[in-house]
Amino acid sequence: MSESVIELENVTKVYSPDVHALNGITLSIPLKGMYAFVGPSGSGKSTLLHIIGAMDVPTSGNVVLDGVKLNNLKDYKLTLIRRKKVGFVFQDYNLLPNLTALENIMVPMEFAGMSRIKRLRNAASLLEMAGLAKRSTHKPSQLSGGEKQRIAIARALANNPKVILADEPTGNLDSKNAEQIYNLFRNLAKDHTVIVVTHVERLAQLADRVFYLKDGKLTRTDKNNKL
Amino acid sequence: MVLTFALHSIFRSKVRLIVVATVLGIVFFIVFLTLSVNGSVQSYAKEFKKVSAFLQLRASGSMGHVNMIGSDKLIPEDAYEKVKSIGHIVKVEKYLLAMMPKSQGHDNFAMHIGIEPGAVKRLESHGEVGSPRIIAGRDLTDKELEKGTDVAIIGKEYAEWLGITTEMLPAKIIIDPSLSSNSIYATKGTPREVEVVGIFASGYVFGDLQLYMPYKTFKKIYPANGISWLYITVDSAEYVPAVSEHLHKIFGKSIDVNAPISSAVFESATSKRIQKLSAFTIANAMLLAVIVIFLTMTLIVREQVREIGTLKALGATNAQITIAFALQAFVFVIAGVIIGTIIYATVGSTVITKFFELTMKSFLPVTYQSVFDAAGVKTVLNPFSFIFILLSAIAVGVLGSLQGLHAISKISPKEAIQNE
Repeated sequence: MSESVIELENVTKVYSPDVHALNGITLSIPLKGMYAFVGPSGSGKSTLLHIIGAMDVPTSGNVVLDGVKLNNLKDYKLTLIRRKKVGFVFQDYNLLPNLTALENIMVPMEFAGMSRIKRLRNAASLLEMAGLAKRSTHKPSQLSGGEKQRIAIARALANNPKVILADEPTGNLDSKNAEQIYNLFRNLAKDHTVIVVTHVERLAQLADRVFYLKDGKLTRTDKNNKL
Repeated sequence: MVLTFALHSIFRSKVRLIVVATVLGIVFFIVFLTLSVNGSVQSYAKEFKKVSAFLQLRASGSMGHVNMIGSDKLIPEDAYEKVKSIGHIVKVEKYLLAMMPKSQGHDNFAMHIGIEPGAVKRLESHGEVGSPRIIAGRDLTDKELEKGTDVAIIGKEYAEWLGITTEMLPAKIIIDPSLSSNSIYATKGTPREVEVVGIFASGYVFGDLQLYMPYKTFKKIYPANGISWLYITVDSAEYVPAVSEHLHKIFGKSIDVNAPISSAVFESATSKRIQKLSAFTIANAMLLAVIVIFLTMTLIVREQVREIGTLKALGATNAQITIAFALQAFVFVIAGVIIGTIIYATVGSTVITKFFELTMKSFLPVTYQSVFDAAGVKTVLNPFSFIFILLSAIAVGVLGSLQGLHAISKISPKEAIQNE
């Protein structure tokens, strides 16, 4: 088994005495590959995504992302972790509406302090990878759903993070566009750790491993040998 | 890129940009106007300080009317020379006044005033105010005033009382100092015929019941051992208090020194009040601008919670996002400053001029109105005003956006997902 990039040990997240979003989750995710979190609404998969993505901290337990323990880190440190180590892909794409496709991809690079020339070069290369080189000057409102999500994936790769977190990435797409996104994720999984939260069976089947969650607990882990 | 995002965000709602910038423009226009009003008033006050100021001397507790029962005490004759020797005094005018009963046994009366060459025709009961203007015939000449010729000019009410019309000029009348009434006693003077050469109008009823004649002529008619009034012109309002003190030192309690409406009064009362009012107006205008920015930024932050969450998820620090949103606040205030400047440059001068015409100028004595016109309206389109306005705009931007920026720091990156 390859080196772990994410390690969770007995992680709990309690929002109130009655709401235990996560209950003693322990898991380890290796570097590279595609992993899926599957479960019904309220199972805790989004909370788990927040914690792995350094958007939130657990109530108890340990979270280690690429060798960095996230517990008790201040907001600023968590921001730096998100910037360098994680790329996010959202169900609704979350592209900045007033920026062009190219500019949207350049945004995280600017936060990382990259020079403008380097930003332009890298963003153009990522657009090429997403197959949208000719759409660089288009704004989100001028792009289709599939194109928007491919731009969002390119943006997630902007700072070359080790981990890509995708929350229902094909939830708003038709099957044809969804298939393109699946293929893109499979390709990315060769060099990155891609974690997908999904209800879609087809996408879960593409994952190297599927984690099933229910009521904040990890109920099952399936290793997918089809791939 | 973040700055591009911020600038694009401003233009996301063009209607909002126009409305907010216009409201702020009006606010800054008011600030410009207030600065201009204040600057003009200070300028006027400065001009008024340079203008000669007047003091009136009378015998203590007396009206100085030579035939008024209980109020006929006069200033000693030698006071004239004593006063002239005081520093900062540029002119001393002496007046003699007597009351003329209109009918026996009643208190209706007219006023007879003796003046010397160069003396201003000051109307009794109106201080130095009033400006009798010849409406028929002619004025008294310096030669007549110097020689003490038996001539006079009378107010139009006086002429009506005597039945003198403009066609009758010059008309001869007899001034009889032996006439009396309840408050006027008969003097032992000699009735004398004088020729009325002109009729004047003063603008108020009692002013038009007065008669001017040469000082020497007056003395031929009325027995007067002294001077009714001395009017003293001081070279600058600044020295009025010092001169007044000096006069009291010379004459002790035997005189009353009156300083009627003067530039000093104007300066201390009007100017300082306008200064306070200006500060109050500017503070309120700024408060309004802060409220406008506060509401606008609160709305913008609320609208863009998801974008802010996304930016944070993508690795933006609070500082980076805050700068982007603060920039939006500053674009609003700078747009407001530009609009305010354009409005001010277009109509500011007209508005200020009209303001002064309708307010302060109309309440000023006639003698000061020319000074007012000469000083002119002070426009504030100068570097200092711009620096003041810009600093104010920055302060408005900072204060107005504080709450919104604080709210940004509280938004979690989870909003990028939760707000779907």
